[in-house]
Amino acid sequence: MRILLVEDDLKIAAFIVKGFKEEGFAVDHAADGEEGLFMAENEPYDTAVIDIMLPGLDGLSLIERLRQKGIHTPVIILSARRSVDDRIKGLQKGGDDYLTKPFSFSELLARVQALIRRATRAPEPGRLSAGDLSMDLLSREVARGGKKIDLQPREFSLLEYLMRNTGRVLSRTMILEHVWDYSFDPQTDVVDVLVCRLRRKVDRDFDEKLIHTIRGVGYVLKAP
Amino acid sequence: MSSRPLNLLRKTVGFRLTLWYSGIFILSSLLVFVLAYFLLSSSLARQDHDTIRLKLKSLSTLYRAGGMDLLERQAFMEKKFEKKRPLFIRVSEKDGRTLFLLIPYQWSGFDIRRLEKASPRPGEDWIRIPSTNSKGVLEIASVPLPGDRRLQVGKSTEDRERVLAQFRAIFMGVLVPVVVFGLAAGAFLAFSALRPVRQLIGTIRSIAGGKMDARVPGPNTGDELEELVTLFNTMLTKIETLINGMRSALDNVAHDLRTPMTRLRGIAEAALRSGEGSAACREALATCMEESERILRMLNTLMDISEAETGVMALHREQVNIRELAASILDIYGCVAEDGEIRLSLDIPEDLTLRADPVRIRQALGNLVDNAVKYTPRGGRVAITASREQGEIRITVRDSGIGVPPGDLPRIWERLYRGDQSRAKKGLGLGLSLVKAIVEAHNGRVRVESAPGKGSAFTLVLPAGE
Repeated sequence: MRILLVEDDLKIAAFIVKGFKEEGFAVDHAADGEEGLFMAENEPYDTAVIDIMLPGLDGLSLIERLRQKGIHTPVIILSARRSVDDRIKGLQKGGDDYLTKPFSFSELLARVQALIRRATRAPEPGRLSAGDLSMDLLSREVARGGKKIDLQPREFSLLEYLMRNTGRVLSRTMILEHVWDYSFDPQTDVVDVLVCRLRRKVDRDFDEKLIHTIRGVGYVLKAP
Repeated sequence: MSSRPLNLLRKTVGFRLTLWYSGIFILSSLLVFVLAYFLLSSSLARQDHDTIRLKLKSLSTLYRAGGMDLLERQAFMEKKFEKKRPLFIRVSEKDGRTLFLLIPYQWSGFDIRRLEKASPRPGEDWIRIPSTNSKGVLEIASVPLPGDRRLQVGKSTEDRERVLAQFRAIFMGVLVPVVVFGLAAGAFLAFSALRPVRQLIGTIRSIAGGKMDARVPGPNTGDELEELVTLFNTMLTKIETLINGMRSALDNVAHDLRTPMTRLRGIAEAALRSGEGSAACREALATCMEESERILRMLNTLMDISEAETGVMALHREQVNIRELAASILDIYGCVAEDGEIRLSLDIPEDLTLRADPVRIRQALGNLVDNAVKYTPRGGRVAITASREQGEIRITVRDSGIGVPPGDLPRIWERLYRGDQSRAKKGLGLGLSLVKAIVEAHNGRVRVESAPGKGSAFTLVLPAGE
C-alpha cells in the first residue's frame, strides 16, 4: 500500500511518515501543493493525505486539480479548521474524509485503512470473529466461547465496528460518528459508558480480555 | 505647485455641490430674464404695428372722404398734439414721387429717398429703413389710395429700443448680485447639507485614533443622512461589541488554558525529573495525551462560546422538528441513564417545529441533558418537554436531581463556575455558558428554576420564527 502525504510542517510530516512506515505502508512526502500534484500525476497511490494550508497551491485546489485530471485516489483532508462549513467545502471539492488538527495518528491510520478498504471493495463477510468471539451479521447473533450474548442495538453496532477493525485503535470521535451517526461533543463520555457496558457483556466473565483502552486515544479490540 | 490646493478643493464634494447649486440658480435666473426680454420686445413691436395699422386705416378713410386736404390737415393736427407719439406719414404718386411727407423732427438719419426708388408692392408689406446715426429702424406699412397713390405710415423703433436698453441695463445691474447671491446660497446649502457627513468624518477620524466609543451626533432630520448616521452608529456599536468580545474572549481563552497547560507541563516535567523506568514514563505520556485531549475540547468549547457571544457564529437556520431533535439526544444518553437507573422521558407534540440551527440547538439541549443526567441520583428521572406560547418555543429539561443552591443560581451561567457539588463530577465547567451563548445567538433566553434536593428545570426560550 502506497500513501502520498502533502504537508508543509516537517515535524507533523515526520511523525506521520514514521507511523505509516511502522504499519508497513510506503509513504512519499511532498512539502507543497505543486510537488504533491506532480507526484500524484506520476505515481499511482492508494490514498493521499493532504493538508489544506499549503504554500503555493493550497490543498483544496490541489484536490480539485486532481479530480479534474481524472485522478480518483481517495483523499483525507487535514485541516486546522473544525467548522461544519469547512468540512462540507472540503468534501464538496472532492475530499473523501476530513480530519481536524490536532489528531491522533491512530485515528488517521484507521481512516486511511477505511478508505483503502472502501476503494478496494472487499467482499462483505457474513460473519466476523476475533478469538473465541463471533458475530453473525445476518442473524445478528453474538457468541463467545459458544455462549450466546444478548446485545442492544447500539452495543451491537459498537461491537461490529470494533470487530471490523480488529487490532486498530478507534478514537471516541470515530465511535461516536459511527455508532450514533453524527458528530456531537458530549461533555459526559457516552462512548466510555457504552464501551463499559459492552465490556460487561463481552469481557467480564472471561479471563482473556478482548476490548482494550488506549489511554488518550480510544479503544481497540485485539484478538488473542 | 500652487494649483495643488485648488485641485484638492475641486475634488471636495462641498465645492462641487456649491458649483452645481449656484450654477443652476444663476442659469435659471438668466433664463427668466431672457424670456422676459423677448416677451417684452415682441409685445412692444406688436403694439407699434397695431398703432401703425390703425393710423393707416383712419387716414385712408379720411382721404376717401375728404381727399388730400383733409388728410394733410389731420396729419398736421396730430403732429401738433401728439408730440409724445409721433408718426411718419407719406403719400406718394403712382411713380413713387413724394406728394406729402411728414417726418417727426426727433427722427433723423433715415434715408427717405429709398422709398421713392422702391417699386410699390401690393398688400401691406413692411418696409424697414435703418438709421445711419442711431440704432433705430423706421418701420413703414402702406396701403393703396384711390388714384394709384399710396399712403405710408411708419414709426421708428428708437422708443422701443430705449425701453429695452433700460431693461437690459437693469438686468445687468441685477446680474452681479444674483451671481453673488447664488454662489453664497450654494455654498451655504452645500455646507449645511454636508454637515452630518463632516461629523461622520470627524467621528471616523477619532475612531481611527483609537476612540472606539465615539458616536456621530444624530441630525434628527428624518432624511437619508439621518438614516446613514443611524446605520453608521449601529455598525459602530456592533464593531465595538465584536472587538471587545474578541478581546475578552482571547483573554479568557488564554487564562482558561493556562491551568490545564500547567497540569500538562507538570506531569511531563515530573516524569522527566524522577528518572523512573519506561513504564512510569509511558504512564505519564498517556496522562499527557488525556490532558491534551481535554485542552483541545476546552479550546473548542471556548471558541464556540466566544463565537456565539460575539455574534460571529454562522447559524444555518432551518425548520427543526423539536421532538426528533430531543429524541436523538435522549438516544445518546440512553445507556448512561440506564446505568444510573435514571428514567428518561419525552413529552413534545409531534408537529412542534422551530427555525434554528439544528446542530447548535442539539449542542445546547445536549449539554442540558448531560448535566441533568450527571446530577441526578439513582432512581431519578429526566424529562424533556416543549411547548409553543405566543410565538415562542419553550424547551424544558427537568430533573429530579440534587438541585442548585439559591446562592449559586445567578452564577451557574458563568464560564468555569462550578458549584461545590459539581466539583466532584467530571466536566469542563463550560456547558451552561455554551448553552446560554448559543440560545442568545438565536435571540432567545435561558431560565432556571431549582430547589435543592428536589431537582432543577432548565428552560430554553426561543423565537419560533416562520
